[in-house]
Amino acid sequence: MVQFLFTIILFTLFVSRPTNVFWPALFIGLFLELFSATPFGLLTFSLLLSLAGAYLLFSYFFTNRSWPALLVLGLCGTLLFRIIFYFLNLIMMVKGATNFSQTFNEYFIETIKDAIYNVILLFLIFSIANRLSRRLKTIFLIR
Amino acid sequence: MTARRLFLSISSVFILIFLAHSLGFLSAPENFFRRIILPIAKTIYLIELKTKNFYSGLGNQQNIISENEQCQIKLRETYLDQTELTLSREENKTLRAQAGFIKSEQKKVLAEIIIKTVDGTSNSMIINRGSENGIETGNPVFFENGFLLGRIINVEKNTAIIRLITDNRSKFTASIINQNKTQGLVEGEHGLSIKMKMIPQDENVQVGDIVITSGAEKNIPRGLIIGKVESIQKELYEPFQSANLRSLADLNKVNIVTVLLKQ
Repeated sequence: MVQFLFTIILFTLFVSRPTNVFWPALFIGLFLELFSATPFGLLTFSLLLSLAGAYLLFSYFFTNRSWPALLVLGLCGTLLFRIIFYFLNLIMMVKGATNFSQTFNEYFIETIKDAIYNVILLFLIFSIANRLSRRLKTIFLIR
Repeated sequence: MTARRLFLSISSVFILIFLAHSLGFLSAPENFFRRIILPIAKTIYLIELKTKNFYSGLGNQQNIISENEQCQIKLRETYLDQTELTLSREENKTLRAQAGFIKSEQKKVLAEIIIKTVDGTSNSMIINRGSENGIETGNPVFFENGFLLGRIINVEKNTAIIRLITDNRSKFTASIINQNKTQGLVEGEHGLSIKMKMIPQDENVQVGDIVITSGAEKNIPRGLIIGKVESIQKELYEPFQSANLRSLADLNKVNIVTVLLKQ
């Protein structure tokens, strides 16, 4: 569920303003905390930090808004989220404050699966949105 | 709103909410939202369970699978009866030898599994009972009157999180129902299987032996069925042998569970 919602948020980041992304992301994260086994705030913090990273990537490195750019954004955003989440859990494990129990190999495999899943989902969302709205033509981003 | 201002405002709100949660000010709204979401999450979980059952019984295989499930249920009941009988015999023997022994009944709470934890970092499930029902961290959880499911690791007012026995961090002291009452430690493996470790080399363990909780841990009674020995790893140069166990039921299809409260 986290990855599905994260994909939706990434797509929103791609097509909308940051204000329309970060505030909903904060509240979605806090909502997901209610059903998470990790310490409170960890999931939301990882979500916001990875979105910030994706936003910086999109704003300062991407030159156009197209479906390959969206897929790369999705891939980078997912990897960022998984890395940040893993390291925060590692820090919490030192204090004994988390229920994180996956080995590194398991987490790595899950990361690959999530990255593939998110990329496919983003492509589907883009295709549907493009067909319905006709507003997602490839454009070059003006800096 | 500039990006810097946006990040600052979001960070401030996040820190405020985090502090409020840490100080306990948010427990009422959190419980309120959980109460609203729990019925929806429960419905989705039940649909998921039914879908799993549906796909596993498609076509002509459905009758065979249904019959197989009935046989499995009867077999599990037989294992329960067998365990109960063995334990009753032991208990009877002990009670006869000791005068004035008093056995107290542990209180139990019935609960339903609502959802798996969303973060996916552990094999754990959320149930719809919490501290207001007397549940505490460390309480054992079982299903169908005697099969161990896991242990409570986190408690809120009206929900709790169970760590399944197949989780990497799950550990229980266990005993095999055999002549020597072999003791060992049962650990979960990658969310898929269970392994019994620290079995002395000289103990005679057979494939098919039933493994139960040993009762050595506080508040976990003896006799909850963990699984059946499926294979044994015994190397002469190792100080201990180990056994792979198979759970007698699909832990991912459990819906109703019982939580044993502390005495």
